[in-house]
Amino acid sequence: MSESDGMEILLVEDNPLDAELTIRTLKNRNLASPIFRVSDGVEALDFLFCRGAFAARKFPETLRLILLDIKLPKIDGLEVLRAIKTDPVLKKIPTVMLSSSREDPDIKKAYDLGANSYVVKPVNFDSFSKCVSDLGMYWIIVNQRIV
Amino acid sequence: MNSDAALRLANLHANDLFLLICNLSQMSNNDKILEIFLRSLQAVYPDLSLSYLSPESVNSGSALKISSGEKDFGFLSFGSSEPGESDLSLMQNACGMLGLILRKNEQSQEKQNSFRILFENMTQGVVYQDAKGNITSANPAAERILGLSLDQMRGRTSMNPEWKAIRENGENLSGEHHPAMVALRTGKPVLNSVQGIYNPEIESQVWMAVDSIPQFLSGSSEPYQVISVFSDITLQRGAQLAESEAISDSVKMLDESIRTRKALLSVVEDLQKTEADLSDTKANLEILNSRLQELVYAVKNLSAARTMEEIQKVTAASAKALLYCDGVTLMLREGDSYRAVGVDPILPLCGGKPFPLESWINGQSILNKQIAVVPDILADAKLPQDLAKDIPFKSLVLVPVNPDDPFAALGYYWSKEFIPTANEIQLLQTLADAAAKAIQNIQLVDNLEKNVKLRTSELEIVVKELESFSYSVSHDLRAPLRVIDGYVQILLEDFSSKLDGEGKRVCGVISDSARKMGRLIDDLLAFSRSGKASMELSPIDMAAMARSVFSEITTENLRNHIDFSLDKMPPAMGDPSLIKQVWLNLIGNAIKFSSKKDRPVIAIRSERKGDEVIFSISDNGAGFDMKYAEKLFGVFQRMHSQDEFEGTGIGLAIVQRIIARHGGKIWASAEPGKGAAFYFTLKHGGEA
Repeated sequence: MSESDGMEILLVEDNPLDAELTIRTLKNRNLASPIFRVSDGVEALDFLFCRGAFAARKFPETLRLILLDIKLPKIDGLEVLRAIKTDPVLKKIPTVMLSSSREDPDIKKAYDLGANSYVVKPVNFDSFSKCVSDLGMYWIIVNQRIV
Repeated sequence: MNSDAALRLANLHANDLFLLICNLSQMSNNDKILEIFLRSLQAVYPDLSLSYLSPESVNSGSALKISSGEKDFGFLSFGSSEPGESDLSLMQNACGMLGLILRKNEQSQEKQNSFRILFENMTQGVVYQDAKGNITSANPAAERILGLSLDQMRGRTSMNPEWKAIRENGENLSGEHHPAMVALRTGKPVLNSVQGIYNPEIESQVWMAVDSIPQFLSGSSEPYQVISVFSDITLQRGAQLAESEAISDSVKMLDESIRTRKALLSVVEDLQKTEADLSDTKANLEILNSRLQELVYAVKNLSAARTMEEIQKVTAASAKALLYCDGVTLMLREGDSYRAVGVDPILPLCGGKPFPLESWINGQSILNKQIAVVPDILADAKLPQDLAKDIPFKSLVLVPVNPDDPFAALGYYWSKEFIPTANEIQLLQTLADAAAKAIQNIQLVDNLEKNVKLRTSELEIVVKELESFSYSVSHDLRAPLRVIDGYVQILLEDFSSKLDGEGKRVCGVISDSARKMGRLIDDLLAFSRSGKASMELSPIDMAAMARSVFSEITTENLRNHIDFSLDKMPPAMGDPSLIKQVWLNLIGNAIKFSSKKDRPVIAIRSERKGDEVIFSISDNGAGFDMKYAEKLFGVFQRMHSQDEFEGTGIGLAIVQRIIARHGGKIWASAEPGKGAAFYFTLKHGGEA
């Protein structure tokens, strides 16, 4: 069993500090869901489609939420989103786009591609941590997944 | 008064006078035009004066009365578009011709008058007979010599036996041998024939020497009348027969009589010529007039043309109406070659492709700046004969467009041989000049459009660059700030036990500054967004928008604390997202600056002024000193220190930019400690 087995949240975030803050917040709010982080689009796709470094693992059936940063190295967040939402199985997993900017011209594109949510990460850490915990709370606890 | 009205007015007054229609326009200085008219008229007819038919001063056209003293001669109407040098010269020609007619008319009248005096008082008899020999007129001398009154003679022919005419030798002179009848029959003058005629008044034979001159109408070989001039030579003849020494005297007298008669005849001929000349000139003027009218239409249509094809069509129609031209090509110069527009039977031959200028005579006319007349296309070596044989036309006239520096040429084609006169070439050149103006206009518009497109695409690039800059700024500047704030929080949460009070205060300062930096970035982005390229205008329910903004930026507690009032307001026309930004900033400011009052009061009102609405928002807050009012709307300009009120100093700059982009105005009034009021105008949003 690889360390990525049994993961419930996939965080795709290239900035390790942002990633740390996000993971820390989710953990502090007692959302015990296991979180796995990848740092670019290629890694994200490898994880989701069980290929490359993740070829040995089986499909992440336990995955309940994907937090996807829109600005990523190599393959950007929108391309990853497109791959997720055109896959008959993956498309059912709620995917939340994270962005640093509300200026983003990609908001419309993200929704067009089928993003379940689009969140602008607040600068203010209080707001940021509230935002992240609300997201985890909503998608892991409130939202009813397909049974 | 426009040119059509001028024409109508001129027509109304013209009766049988000449009407000249000239094309002129957009020449602001009518007096100058008048001067040109007058000068060209007076060059041939010094007594003429010009005056406006209608008293009003005109801009685009008018009818002018041409008169000499009390006498009105004609009317001149001008108007319409784009005057060219050749229009003026054509007009000058027309005016010149009109003056010539007027002068000839007068000359003719003078001659007629002097002839009338001569006719009445001369000693020689003059008799006019029509083509059938009927006497139509005779002078008093003729009445005396023949012993018959004009009434008695009128209608009589030479064939009448009552003349009792005899030859010099006493033989009977029959009617058909009478010199007048011979002249009519042969069409040649019969000079100095001597005959005797019975004068019933004096009841005796009168001897006379007769010259009979046939008269022709121009273009006819059959005389339409005959004029006979005769002198009474009874006395001379009697003397000649009675006394030989008197012979030389009588010969002298006879010679004199012949000379007089000849002089007289030349006067008559001159008079006839003058009259024929006059009618020719009148006919010429009529042609010129109709050509001018046609040119007026052509110039009008040319100035409305928006494509080269339209110019070619208008020119072709005009050349057809003017000179029965069967087809026109417009050849546009493109560097060292030319390309043809128009004339369907020719285009397939050249395929619309460019030809080198020097290759054909067409291009050479552009190159050499010369008009070329080709009477027979097939016989002209400068046309490629393999192509020429397929051209269904006989004659070609090539006229360079803009002769000083031709950028095109017009080819006029005729199916039958056509060799233009100098005047007709001038006409074709005038048409080409009018086309030149139209072509230049189109090229000007094209250039303008190209420039506009270029500038627009440049602007679009700049706007795109700005957008991607904003994007990067928002992304890349915000992320580190969040990290700073986040890690300070970790410090405070996880290491709180190791931090004393000062340590915690320092962490608070770091955190505060990071948040301020975040707000600054947000405001700067809003400012750049306020200048975004496109605005989508729609009617906005301003009251609803202001109310929802107020709710959005206040908590319930705050709302209960503030005395907020909002009038019913008319809709405004604007871009909803930008106008919302205006309310966000203005209401936000009002809340901020009144926040230190026990009971903040904020009032939003409106007042309609014509098609605009003035909106106002006032508060009872800190206000500001009006002497700094001009700095109010500058970027990073602040009226208060950060200790008093936080702020980035960008909000009002955003508001002003948005209002200015909507064509509105913004201003403020305030008093320190008593509050401030901001006013801005927007277009009324229509009846809601």
